[in-house]
Amino acid sequence: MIRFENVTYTYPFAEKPAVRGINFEVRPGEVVLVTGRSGCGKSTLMRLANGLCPGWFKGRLEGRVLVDGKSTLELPLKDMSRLCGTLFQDPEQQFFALGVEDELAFVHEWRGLPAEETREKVRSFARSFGIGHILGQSIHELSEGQKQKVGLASIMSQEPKALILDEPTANLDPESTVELAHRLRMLKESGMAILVVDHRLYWLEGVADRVLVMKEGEVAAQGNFGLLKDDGLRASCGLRGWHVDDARPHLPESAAPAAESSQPERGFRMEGVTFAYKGQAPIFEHASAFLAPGVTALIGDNGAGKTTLARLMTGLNKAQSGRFFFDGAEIAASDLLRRVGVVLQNADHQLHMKTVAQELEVCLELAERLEKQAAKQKAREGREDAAAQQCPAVSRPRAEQVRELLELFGLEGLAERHPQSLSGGEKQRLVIACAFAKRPRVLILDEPTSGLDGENMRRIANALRLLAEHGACVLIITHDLELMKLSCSRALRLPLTAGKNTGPAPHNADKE
Amino acid sequence: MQASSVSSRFEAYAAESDSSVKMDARSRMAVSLFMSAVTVCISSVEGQAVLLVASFLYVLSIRRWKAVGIAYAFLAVMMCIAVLLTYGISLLTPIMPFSPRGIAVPFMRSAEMMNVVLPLALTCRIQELLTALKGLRLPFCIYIPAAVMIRFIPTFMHDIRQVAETLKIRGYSLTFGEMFRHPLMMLRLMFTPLLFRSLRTSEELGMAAELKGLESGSCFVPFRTQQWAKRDTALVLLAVAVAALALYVHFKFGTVPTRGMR
Repeated sequence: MIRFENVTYTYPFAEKPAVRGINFEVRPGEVVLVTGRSGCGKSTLMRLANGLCPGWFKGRLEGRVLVDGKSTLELPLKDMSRLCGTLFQDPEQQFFALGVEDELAFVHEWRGLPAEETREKVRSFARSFGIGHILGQSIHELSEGQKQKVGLASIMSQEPKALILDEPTANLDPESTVELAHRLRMLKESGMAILVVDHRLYWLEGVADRVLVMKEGEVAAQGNFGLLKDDGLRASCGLRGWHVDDARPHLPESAAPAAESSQPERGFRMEGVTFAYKGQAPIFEHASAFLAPGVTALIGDNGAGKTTLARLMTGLNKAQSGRFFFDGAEIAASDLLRRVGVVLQNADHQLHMKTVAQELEVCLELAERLEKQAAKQKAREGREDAAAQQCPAVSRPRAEQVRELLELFGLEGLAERHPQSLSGGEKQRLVIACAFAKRPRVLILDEPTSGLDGENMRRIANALRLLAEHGACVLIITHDLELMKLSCSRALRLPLTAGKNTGPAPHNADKE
Repeated sequence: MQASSVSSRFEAYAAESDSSVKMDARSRMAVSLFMSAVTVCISSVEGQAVLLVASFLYVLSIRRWKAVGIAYAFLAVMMCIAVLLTYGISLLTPIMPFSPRGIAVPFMRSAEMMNVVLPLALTCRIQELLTALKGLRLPFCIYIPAAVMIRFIPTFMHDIRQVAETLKIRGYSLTFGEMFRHPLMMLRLMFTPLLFRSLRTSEELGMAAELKGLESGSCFVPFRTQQWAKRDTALVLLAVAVAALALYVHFKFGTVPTRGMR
């Protein structure tokens, strides 16, 4: 169905080919997984298969890419799209309508299908993908798993013969990932040729018929799923684990030391926090939580309030009531943002300067300014700052600190690049490095490793462990089971219990 | 989650505001377009006054007192700045004397446009606007950019909010004082991420359109029909009547300012 014959492709203005000498085939009823380190040419392979290269990106193609026996060079993209559907990593970026029903109907309306036929297609594909109950909803109200189902239903309603999935699990929780694997198995049985490009491997065990491991634009290894069990291959190609155990049920609860303990309290505590969005029922009512130094995973179902809790802890959302403490000393909610670092999901929003090095320098400068302001304020109030004693302002030259951060996050060779020109994974590492520059006592990260290859995921896990070893409380909101297993030592589970959180809360691991 | 909350609040805001009189988005769009054409044709203060009063009553009918108040406050600030600058220029260059009537017409036009756009923006769900656009059966090259622009309003609002939050998290001070002291830096901080995000979004959408098989010249058949009620016809007829009255006043009683913008 999809066939690469000795394919070499070079992007416009590039000196070197992005992929070289590629030969492989995806037959009907087969799932082929393409994986490899970031920048190894996986995405280019996907673009070659759906005709975007060279149809959209231009560039030079040598060899042949055939879809259903026809060369992608001879078929216009609109005809290619009927043969081969593509689902992006973030399906929302592919949506042209705001409502689910309108999105499903969109393509058929523009292809001039009679209204009744369009309605029938919408109804039947909504039924088969189990999304009939969300037809009236806005796309913004959907979970990532639901968005993916809508995207997939929209593609399948065009009845293509082949399907290409670009990092389909990057934003999915483990339950939605299992559901996707099940759906791919069904599509495979129906005779669909499926090409999956992904860093996460474990979910395709028993689904993928063949695996292509890419390295520097070439196929480094090709075989069945068992190929991925080779530790040497995984290490040399920066791959993730082929099998991942779900660590969530086994992580101990993050609880404050008992009141009678003689040890001084170390860590971040919130007590009696109540918060509701305007006109809605409270998400938290007199909720308490404790973060000890170390790495804690924040676990909860979709909509349980994970992001809201993170925003309350950083002071980005103001709690209607509640108190916050660092090492047992109360701090004002308005002071939280100065003391707590947070890395939000979208790296694009967080990069402003001309070079990577400048981005870090500015962060260090701002962090020093904040520390000085805090010290002055304490001096005015005649108080001693225990936190400042533990994390004294670093007096080393800023350039040296920048170099250290670049090394820690593997960005040394990119110091003079424009931050917005980096790849997604590189940007993600840079924004985490910027958060480290603040030397936070508490650091909260929202999905820090979605879309990262194994090598960089491990790099982030190591960096977080290092920060935790220096006494910081790190809280991670993540669906990445591998990151959780590598770095988290305890879990904070939602919903939070009311009152002081001094003991293990009722476990909701079954629901996870 | 954030995009979701922004969008749902945006939609809920629109829905709740329209609880009194539910109009079809197409009638609101028609009034806006019609008013923008008429206001350009009328250059007398008297004719503009008719349009201003009528459009003011129209905006009041949506009962969003706070939103209308904020919009008028913003317009008043703009007007004060313009008056001060125009007055200053007239002092420096006597060949351009200051004329209150001359400056009144452009501001009346602005107020009228605001009065007709606010009901459209505050009472129609974004999806209704998209459906209305579809219903108009516009050419592909007009519909797609317009639809995408409207479709991305909630996303863009969310982006702006998140960029501002990121700056707060980093420790930047986002005060007016700081903006006046370091305007270029503030522009860079706000607009660099938005610009790159917009470029990326437009590229992804372009690819998505190609991969969905959309192309210019496609024949569009909407699968959903909209409800055009009698009150929508009444609203459009009323707008035509107001325009006729304004034109009559303009030609019969109007005095066109000889100075300033006409």
